[in-house]
Amino acid sequence: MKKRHLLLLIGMSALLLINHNTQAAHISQVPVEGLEVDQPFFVETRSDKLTIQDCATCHNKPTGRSLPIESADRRAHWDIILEHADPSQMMCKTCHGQIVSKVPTMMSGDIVGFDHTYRLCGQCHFRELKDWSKGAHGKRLLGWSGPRIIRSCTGCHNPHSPRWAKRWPKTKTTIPSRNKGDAPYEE
Amino acid sequence: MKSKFLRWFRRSREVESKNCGGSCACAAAKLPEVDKPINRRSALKRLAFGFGAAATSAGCGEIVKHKFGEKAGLSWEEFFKKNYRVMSRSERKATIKRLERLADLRRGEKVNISDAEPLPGVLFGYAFNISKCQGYMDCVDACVKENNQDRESNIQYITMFEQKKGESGFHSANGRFFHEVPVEGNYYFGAQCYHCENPPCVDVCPVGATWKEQDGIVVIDYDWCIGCRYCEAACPYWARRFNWSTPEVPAAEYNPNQHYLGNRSRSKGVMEKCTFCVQRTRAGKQPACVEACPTGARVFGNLLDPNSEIRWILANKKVFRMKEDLGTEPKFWYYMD
Repeated sequence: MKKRHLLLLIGMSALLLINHNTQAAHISQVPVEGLEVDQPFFVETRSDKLTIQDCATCHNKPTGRSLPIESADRRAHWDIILEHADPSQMMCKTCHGQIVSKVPTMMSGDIVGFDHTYRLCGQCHFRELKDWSKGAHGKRLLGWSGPRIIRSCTGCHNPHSPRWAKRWPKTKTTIPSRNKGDAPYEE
Repeated sequence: MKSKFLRWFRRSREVESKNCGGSCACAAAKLPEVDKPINRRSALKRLAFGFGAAATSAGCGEIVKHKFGEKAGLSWEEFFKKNYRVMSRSERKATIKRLERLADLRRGEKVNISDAEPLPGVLFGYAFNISKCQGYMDCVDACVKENNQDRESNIQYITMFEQKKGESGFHSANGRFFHEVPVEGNYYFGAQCYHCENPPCVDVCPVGATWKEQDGIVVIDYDWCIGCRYCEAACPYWARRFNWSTPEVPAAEYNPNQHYLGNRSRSKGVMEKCTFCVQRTRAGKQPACVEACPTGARVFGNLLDPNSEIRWILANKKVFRMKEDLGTEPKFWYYMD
């Protein structure tokens, strides 16, 4: 290989690197932890997107019940509908610890941050965890190349009712079928 | 006789370029050097410039006529350009420059057309998780917006199908559903161009307007396509679309980031289809459908990279392709959890 070609290659790879770095700048991410992975990858952060996180956001007085109940949207714990597996198996303390705390807690009592909830979910959903860590489940952000940044479980699923909601499709298929006798469009 | 005419033509061009003062079209469009050997194609091109200049010479100061002359000249040059595949790098740059200028002159659109070539060591592949897709069709919507498809006829490159669990294939799937999704007992899958390794659509094209690129994307040169629709008939997956009208997009939704082989403005009467969003994927981004999918059912990546997600899926998941018995080798796999 000629020297000129080498230089060109180096230049191009440097450009690519710069490109990836600028792309990655759009999304806040942290390296995945607590998993054995061959290829290091990142998860999108969640802790910086939570609006009601600390107890003091609502419980702002040192003693006694101080939560102003008159505003319904502040009643953070009451609007939670738990539709996650059988209610006899899944309850608040399954994920929030024996002494229910604000942060996700593993069965062992270890506290995991809001950014690393995949470790908590993976206790039961170990197959999904494997698929997710390898790329068959979950959503990769930014590009197909460059650092692998994926959305954590709670980025897509509501942990309290993880099933996808029923809704109308965003648009309607307009391509007519060429098979004769096809049913007309559903209205 | 011919050489006499050519000599006269060269001289007349020289005189014209000397006479014309500054800001008119013939100054903006730089003429090729007169010493070059002249052939039929370049002679016709020069004639076009002659007409263009004639139109402008009447009133060089008037902007309208100036633009008309430039537009006519550029359009004429465009008409005589080569197939994109045989163009040299400088010819590609030149046509892109013309197309960008024409987009501005015709519709007042400031576009940025890329001529990015296939990345070395990359072969694109796609995987679709039929266990995850919910039929929301966000992908279809994103595709239409990304690729500047005509809003009036609403051409869609992706078709979503609803299928009963336990059945497979297109023949019994419902591609025209419109109700709340997902429905219990059904699954959903999207179909688009599968970018076959052995594409029958490419084989039948009589003019060589469609081909498979090095990175596996099957592309169309819209300006070389004659609209015969052989490829549409040849595609066993019904992935190609014929546009009956010039794609028109509201200015607010127009995507100015384009690729020559991708989502640039095309005329009516040509074939269109999914290009794996060549304008995005060759820049390292994901196709618009992948980015829009809320369920993560769509996976896109490099088949030649052993560490890519798609390679893991192909090695570890139950995968299938549509109509495999035809030997078209689609680079689009369906898989399930």
